Amino acid sequence: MSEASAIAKRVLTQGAFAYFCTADMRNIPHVVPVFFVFDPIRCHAYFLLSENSKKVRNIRLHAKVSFTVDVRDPVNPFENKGVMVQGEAQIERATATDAETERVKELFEEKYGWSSSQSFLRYDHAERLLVDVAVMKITCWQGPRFVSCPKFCIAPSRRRCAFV
Amino acid sequence: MQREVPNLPAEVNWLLEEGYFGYLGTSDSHGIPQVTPVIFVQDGNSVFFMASKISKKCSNIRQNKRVAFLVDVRDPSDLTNNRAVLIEGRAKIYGILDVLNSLGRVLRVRASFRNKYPKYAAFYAEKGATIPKPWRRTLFISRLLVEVWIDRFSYMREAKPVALEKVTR
Repeated sequence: MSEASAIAKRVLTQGAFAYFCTADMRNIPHVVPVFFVFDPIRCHAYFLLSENSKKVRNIRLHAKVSFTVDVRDPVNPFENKGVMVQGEAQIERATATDAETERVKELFEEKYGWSSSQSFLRYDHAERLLVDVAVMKITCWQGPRFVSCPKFCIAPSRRRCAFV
Repeated sequence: MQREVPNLPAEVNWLLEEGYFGYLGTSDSHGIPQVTPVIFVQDGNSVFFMASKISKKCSNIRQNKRVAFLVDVRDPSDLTNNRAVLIEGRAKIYGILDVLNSLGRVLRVRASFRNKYPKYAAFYAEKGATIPKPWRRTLFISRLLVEVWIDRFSYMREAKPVALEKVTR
């Protein structure tokens, strides 16, 4: 695994928040911090969003999205690292009971330590949507060094990658 | 130093003063969005940041000046305890004439960057010559100054929108 792959994978799996960007029909961007999980096996990211939110309305109009997860160093800008992902979003009901949705719910519960009874995944189902972002492009940086896939790849199998 | 802006509520001014990083959302002419972190300062009803001349965000702004800018201050011990402001605005990349026409303001913004980010300033002063060209601070050669005029904002507390007085331009 290349250094960029390792950084990207670590940041995406350990980062607590993603800054999620959509664009509306007038092409005005919208950015919000959101909880997320990243599945390195499928190279997909998942978000739990409210049905009435602006970001969901934007996704329904325009499926292209972007999100950034980063680690900030307040002293040394060369130690800032992060990952910016561009992808295509698909909205699913969080109430779905298929194996894939259940797996994603478990990833959320594991990452954020939500017990099954407390997890907001487990109630308020009518409003909660699961947004599945298929990763199209990843840009990774550490300090001034930028590298984008397909120069590196974090997918375990390149057959899964949109670039191949 | 807290600088009060008449049109912005105190909560928003506080975030723009205290927030260390902002997240800039841009979108190209095809509506493909991009979001990246930047360091920034506030001056009046605008925020300023520097961007590499060759960056995608500058390329996007040239295609579509409408941007989103999020500042999010968060309690590390309680992830849901945050204060955030989402700015919707219009970005302008400063050219040489713009800098000359607004020299006083540009110098004030430069001083604000140095005051707000003294460790970064010291780092650049020390390592300037060894930094790759796109990252150097040289205005127009490597970096461009970008102003975002605040058209609208929404304020969030603990991940929920909170109504505050709106800015009208």
